[in-house]
Amino acid sequence: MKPFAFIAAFWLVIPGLASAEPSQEIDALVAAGLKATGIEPNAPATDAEFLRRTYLGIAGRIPTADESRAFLESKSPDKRPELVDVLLDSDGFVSHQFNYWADILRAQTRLQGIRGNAGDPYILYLKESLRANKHYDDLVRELITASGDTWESEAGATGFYRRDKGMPLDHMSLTVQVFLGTQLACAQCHDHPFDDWTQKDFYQMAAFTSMPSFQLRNGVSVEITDKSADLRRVQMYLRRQTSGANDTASRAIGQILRDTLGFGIPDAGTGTIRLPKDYQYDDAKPGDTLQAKTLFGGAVPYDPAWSSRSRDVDSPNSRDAFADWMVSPENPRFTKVIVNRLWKRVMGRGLVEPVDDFRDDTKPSNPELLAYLEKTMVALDYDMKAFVRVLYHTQTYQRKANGEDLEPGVAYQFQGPLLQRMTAEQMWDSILTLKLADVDAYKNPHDSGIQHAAYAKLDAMDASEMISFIDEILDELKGGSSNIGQVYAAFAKKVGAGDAYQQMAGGQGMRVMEVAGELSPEQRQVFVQRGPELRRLFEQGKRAREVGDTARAREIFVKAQSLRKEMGLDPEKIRRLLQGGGGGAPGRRGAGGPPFVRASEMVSPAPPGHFLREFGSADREAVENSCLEATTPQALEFLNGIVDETLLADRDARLIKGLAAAGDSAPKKIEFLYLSIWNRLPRAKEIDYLTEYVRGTKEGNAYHDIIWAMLNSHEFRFIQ
Amino acid sequence: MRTHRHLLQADEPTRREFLTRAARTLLGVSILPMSLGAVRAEATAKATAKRVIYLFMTGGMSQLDTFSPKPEARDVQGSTTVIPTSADGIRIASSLPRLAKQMHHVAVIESMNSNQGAHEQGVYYLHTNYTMRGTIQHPGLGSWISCLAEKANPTLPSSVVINGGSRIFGAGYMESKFAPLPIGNPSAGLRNSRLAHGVTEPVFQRRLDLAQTMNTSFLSRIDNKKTRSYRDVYDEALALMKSEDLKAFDITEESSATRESYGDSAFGQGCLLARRLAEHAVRFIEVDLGNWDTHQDNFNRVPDLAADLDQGMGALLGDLATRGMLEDTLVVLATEFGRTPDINGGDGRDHYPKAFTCLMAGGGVKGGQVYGKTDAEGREIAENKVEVPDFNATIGHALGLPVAQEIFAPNGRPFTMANKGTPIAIF
Repeated sequence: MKPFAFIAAFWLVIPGLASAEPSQEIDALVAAGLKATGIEPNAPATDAEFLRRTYLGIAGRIPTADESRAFLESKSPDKRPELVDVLLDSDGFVSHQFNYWADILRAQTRLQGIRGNAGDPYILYLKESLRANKHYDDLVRELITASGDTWESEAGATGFYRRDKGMPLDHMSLTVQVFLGTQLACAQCHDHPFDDWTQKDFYQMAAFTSMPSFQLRNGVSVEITDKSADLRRVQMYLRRQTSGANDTASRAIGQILRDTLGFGIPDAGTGTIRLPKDYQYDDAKPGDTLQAKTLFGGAVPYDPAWSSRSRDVDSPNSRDAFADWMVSPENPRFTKVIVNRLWKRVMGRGLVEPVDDFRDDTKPSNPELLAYLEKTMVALDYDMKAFVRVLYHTQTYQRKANGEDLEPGVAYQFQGPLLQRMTAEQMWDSILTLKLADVDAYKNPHDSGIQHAAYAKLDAMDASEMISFIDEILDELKGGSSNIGQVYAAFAKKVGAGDAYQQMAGGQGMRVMEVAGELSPEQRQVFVQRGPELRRLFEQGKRAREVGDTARAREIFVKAQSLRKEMGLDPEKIRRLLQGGGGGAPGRRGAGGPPFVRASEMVSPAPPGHFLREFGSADREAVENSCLEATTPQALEFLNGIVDETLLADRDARLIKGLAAAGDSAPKKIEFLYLSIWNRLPRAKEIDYLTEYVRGTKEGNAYHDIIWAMLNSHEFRFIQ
Repeated sequence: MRTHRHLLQADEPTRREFLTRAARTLLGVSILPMSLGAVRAEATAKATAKRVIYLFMTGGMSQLDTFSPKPEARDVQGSTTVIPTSADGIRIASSLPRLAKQMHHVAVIESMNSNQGAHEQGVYYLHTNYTMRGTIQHPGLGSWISCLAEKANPTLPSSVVINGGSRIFGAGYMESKFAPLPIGNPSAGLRNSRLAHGVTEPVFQRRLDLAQTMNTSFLSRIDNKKTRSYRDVYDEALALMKSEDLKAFDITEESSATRESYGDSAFGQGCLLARRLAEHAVRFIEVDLGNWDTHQDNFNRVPDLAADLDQGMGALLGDLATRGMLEDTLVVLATEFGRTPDINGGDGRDHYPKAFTCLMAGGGVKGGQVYGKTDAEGREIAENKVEVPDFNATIGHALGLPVAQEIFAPNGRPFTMANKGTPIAIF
């Protein structure tokens, strides 16, 4: 089927839209906005500009040389919509969308208070939801009504609440900021200075999702879950065992049990909240209990049945009612915010800026266009992929990029998309596209081994069954001087998690190699034991070299060499294991970033100092915390770091291999490099100049110079 | 247009000449001491400090469980206990034993007040001295100092942020040359500041030249703040590469005893790096310590965090004093807000911007004093309220900067470092 026929058929089934072609309608509305302000639209983008922008925008990376060539040489009149559709169904789309939502929702691998990668179930849930193209209203509803224990299967969405457990006020203000584009943060402490909301309004809103929080018993904090009562009994039992030889084991098991069973989000949403003691306004008294009430939009009547604190999903609770209100098309901001976000994602700037600060007097740069986008989203039933497909098919998207400075707060009429710097993730994933055979081959399984297995096993037990289960482990460990690692290993074996603990200990980099069959269990063992020492030596050596102390660097390097020989692993494997950041203790902060996998498959957030963080990838502490500012370490990274270390020194890199295979003539090789890095064909003048450069370069590798120069250029880091 | 052949025929340049030329060719500018012309006015006051080390406690440090305990108010104090300090009449939490020995250097500012009770907004206010608006990005303190003070070391940046989160407070509406240099991992220092393995200076030079030529077409089409900011950071990077002072970033130069004294944490090692940078005339060095958001389990978590704070800051004050540097180095401890006197159901404390505590030491500040006062339970400020702009104006005042000097943003609006704040009398 021709793509156009498909697209036309697709649009015809959208009910409620005046036009059969929303992309054209959008172009007409943009044209009207431009005309009203006397601005000319930009010229159409070239195929090469469209190609690179679209790969980066949808798949989150630059195209390979082959992909570039195929598109540029294609004679199909529909090649642009075809490319959009292919990329929207690619793995890259899921990866790139995940980075975006992880930044908005602050998804982290680690969660406050729980050891292990307790954020993994949430991360996996988000990825699966994006892969399945879950409609936006369904996704938001699932997040708001999430319940279950952290390690229970199918309870990944609880990460939404768990992320901010114990902070119901912050959580509500962030929820309203993210989904309704409305800033309530000020109202946490005082009446809102710019809008009509009072502090009381804010508390009434927070009453919808406020829920029972931590209970502290004997200095051990646990949350209210289905297993709380059993868990407390078992903890009391273990406390009595902590004397003498079994001390370490009892403590360690107590920790594992708490991490496994002690965390969850109960179903209850009672719809009430108590005002703080220092409440300072006349509209209510400190300590008063308030009932849930919405700030704007339709009223949600308070239902006394919510207060039953029932743990039954089917009984009425305030979080269901809040979700209904949130995702209702009658909610005046729910749809506006998501269409404005996605418009910005495609075009580089929102119709309203900032995207999370809508106010009653907010004027979109083109109000008719925003209204039409809302209508389109509703007609598409909140299918985000179908919605961005409409945007990518517009002529507005397909114009030349605009490179002028825009001050915040100035209305922009979209004569073309905005020139953007690649995000940290786009840049890292693009470097990997130049390095790896298949950049999407590795997917992080996010299966936090021991806890999932332990939960599955222990959830079915009552307290006395758990106690006998624990006794068996304690018996097994008796006599030996058990360290924590041994206790973990014994526990993992007992719950059928096999070597999950060992895998965690080895970190992700090691896991990647095991999956690929490149590492035997013996080799893994050796690396777990000696790897950290070797890593330290290499780091010291590198530092010494960087500060110009070559004698010390050499001395350290000799030491490292002999340790490596003792370990009996080949240098290449060692290099990859070390780059993987593995070898740390499980859950140790910053440990466990895989070596060369896409940003979406790494630990979240990327460790401080990592390339991603250097280029502004978010720490995922605040909403949309990623940053595109230029910094000096970024320049140093490209001048003296990643280009030479990751690409030029790697004979197996896709780019280096492809260069060798690109034919013997300089023009052929130059063309290959242009298609690979800048994703366009070189101009005749460029070929001439660079051919001359290659001929005149007597020492060193002229092609490496060209690669380096292309990657150190604006044409690489900016998206036109 | 110069070609690579031209360069290969050139005489072997000295390192400094070579890099100076490299910068000029790649970026269209040469490395010169920064000149601000009209912006910089004469200092308004006599400087008591030459540089600032700014320690920021992200998440909201509990004043009650650190520097402003209220042991007589049992209900608000919880299980936190106190110890006497080297300053008469000042008690602090017993989880801060090293700092207790340094309090004679420290002014405790107990009457801090902010109107921002959420993290992002609160951190923004402390760092930029303006409240967060959707329509403008204000520069951080480091950028103000870079803009208003002469560079003291021509080859190092004026301002460095260590362990900052992902959104450090950059130049905002100022040009990005005033932005601080971020260091993500203090033990690794400044990475990639030497030529890559196997790359010689002539090769580096010809690559820079080639990049310049290949960039021509893009530059002729697009020149905006984003692209200029990359020109600026390449400029700064090449200046750093030729710096004689790169060792300032390398804490492995320190003895292992010194490194251990600052503690094994990223914060402690960051404090040590800050001291080295201060020695090399960097004007503003921020070191962050996170996770103070103790809504839950406050009485276990604060002592954990305090251990890192105590060791890092305690060693820093001691070390600066021993080296005679505390006299002209202002050490600041700040946080976005404090925490509630009331203890919540999760044994934690919630946000409390109404009355909290920050510290200043050295740099002409009179040590061993408490400035401002709160009531018996720490709920209300009783005396000498210090608002955020007053606090930041005090920092500028110590450096002798013209804190009321107007700077114009591109939208034409005037801003000042002090934002109407008045320096407080702690000198």
